[in-house]
Amino acid sequence: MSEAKRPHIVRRVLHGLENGSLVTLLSVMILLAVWQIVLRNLAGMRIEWAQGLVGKFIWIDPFLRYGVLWVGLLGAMVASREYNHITIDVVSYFLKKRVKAAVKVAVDLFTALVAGLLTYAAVNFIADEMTGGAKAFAKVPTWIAELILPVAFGVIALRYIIFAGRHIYEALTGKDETKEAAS
Amino acid sequence: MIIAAFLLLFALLGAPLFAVIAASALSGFHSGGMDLSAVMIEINRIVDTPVLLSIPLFTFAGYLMGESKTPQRLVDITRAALGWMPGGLAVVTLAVCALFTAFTGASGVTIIAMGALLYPALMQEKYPEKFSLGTITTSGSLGLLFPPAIPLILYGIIAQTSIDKLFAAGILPGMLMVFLLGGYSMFVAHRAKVPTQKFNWATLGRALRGGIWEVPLPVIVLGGIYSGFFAVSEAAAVTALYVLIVEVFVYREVPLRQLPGVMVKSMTLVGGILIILGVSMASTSYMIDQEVPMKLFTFIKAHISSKLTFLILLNVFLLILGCILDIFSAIVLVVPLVLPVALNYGIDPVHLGIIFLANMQIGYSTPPIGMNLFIASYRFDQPVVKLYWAALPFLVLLLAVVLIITYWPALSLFLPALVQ
Repeated sequence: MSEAKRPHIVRRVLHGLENGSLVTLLSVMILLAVWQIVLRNLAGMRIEWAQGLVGKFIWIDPFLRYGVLWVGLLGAMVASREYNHITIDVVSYFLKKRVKAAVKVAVDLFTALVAGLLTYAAVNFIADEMTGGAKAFAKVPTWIAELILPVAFGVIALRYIIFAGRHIYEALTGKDETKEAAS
Repeated sequence: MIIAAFLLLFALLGAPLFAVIAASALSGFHSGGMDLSAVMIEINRIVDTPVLLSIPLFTFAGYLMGESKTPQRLVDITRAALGWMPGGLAVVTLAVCALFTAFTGASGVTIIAMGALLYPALMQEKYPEKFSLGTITTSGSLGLLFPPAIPLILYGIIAQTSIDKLFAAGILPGMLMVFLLGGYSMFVAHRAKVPTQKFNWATLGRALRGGIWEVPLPVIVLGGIYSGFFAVSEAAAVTALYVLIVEVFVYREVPLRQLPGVMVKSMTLVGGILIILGVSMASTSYMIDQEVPMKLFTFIKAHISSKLTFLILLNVFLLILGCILDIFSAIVLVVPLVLPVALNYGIDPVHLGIIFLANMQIGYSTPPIGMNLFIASYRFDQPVVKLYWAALPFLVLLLAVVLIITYWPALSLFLPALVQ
């Protein structure tokens, strides 16, 4: 909860990290995916230097598959920071503002609990993977390539705890703080 | 049972669906005496599905086109080509929205980007207000059946069905929707005495020259896939890089410094979908372990013997489902349950996919949570109830197409049979 006390620096650093890694990773993935196609087709045309390179770039394929996991979970982290996950949300249209905030507190705590359990599951999963010693691609072990799992679920859990705090304040005072939370 | 009711309550109260699904998977694994980290093994299976790469790449390309002037150019070309018909502008709206949605995925981008251009134009040409609102609202999901729409890809992944074939299967049913709604538009335009425009080669030529870099895109994607040159995820990579170069460096409509923002925005949507996909793989694996699909089939088989009755009930079920669940959650949650049952009734998985998506498409514009209704309500500053009524005639026509799609399998299966 130290994040709530000094929102600016911690939050800005975290947002910057999320956005920065998303943008870098997606750009690299686009370039590598296209490079892989070019290389394969050149090699198919029996161009010698390309044929020689194919073997050096076989890591691209698994890299892209793990990249999807990272991009997806980073995107999910951003979605939770913007309180923007896919929901059904039929009931809240009919509720008054303060009741709505109270319902949100319950929903936030539920989400935080589930994300917390997922984090616990992810930490155990990573621990198992570390003993296995399998490689994801090149020399990168799988547990490093999967490290985003506990990180993402952990950050999501923390965010929903903070949202719960905000919504408790809102339910008590009737003031709307969620908009600030998105910034 | 108590847990299920509890989770349903939280879902209805607006808890993120990924949390609700994850909770059901966690409690299922726990009660089955399994270690919770098994849930993570299932989620991690995202890395075993190479074709998933196409989802972030196509979504990014679609968002980037939405940020540039692609919508305007697409409207110009289509208007020059089809504007001479009675109800021309309405037909243009349908065609343009369908094409754009196929690339952007029905994520509301179509209504926001295209609605801004087409709604004022429709009003200016004296189309009735209700009709104009209804057209834009329902067009927001019209292209779902056309390649390379994300829902088709997602269904292919979940059903383990060839995405190439699904892409081909959606074309004729999707065109039937556009044609039927187009016919209705001509009728409305005729009755409202909307003036028609003359066709002009020079205008068309100018519009085509303006969009010369974007016109080849569908050819690159579909031609690439069906000539066997690209796999689906490779077509997505080429599309993403091509669109990036064209919009940022050729047209220069999206400055380089805005690119990170577009990437983050599009990946937020992708993250929302992928996290639901991940946790659903866990809950599905638990349900299959408990033989839920088999029990479901035995139960249904005891009450329904004919394929026809099953299809009717399937339609009713999917329409209700579409009213309460978004298309992505519906695919990842329900397809694993429905598919084995449908296979036992002799329904082709490709055909089932088209039935599924066509029903879900209607759900976008039905109360209470139809996303198109809310986006249009927000975008055009109209009460949601007014949009319910505006969308109604379109929904009736789309429902007719859904019935045709359901009971005439050849419409969906004719083209995929040609692709081998």
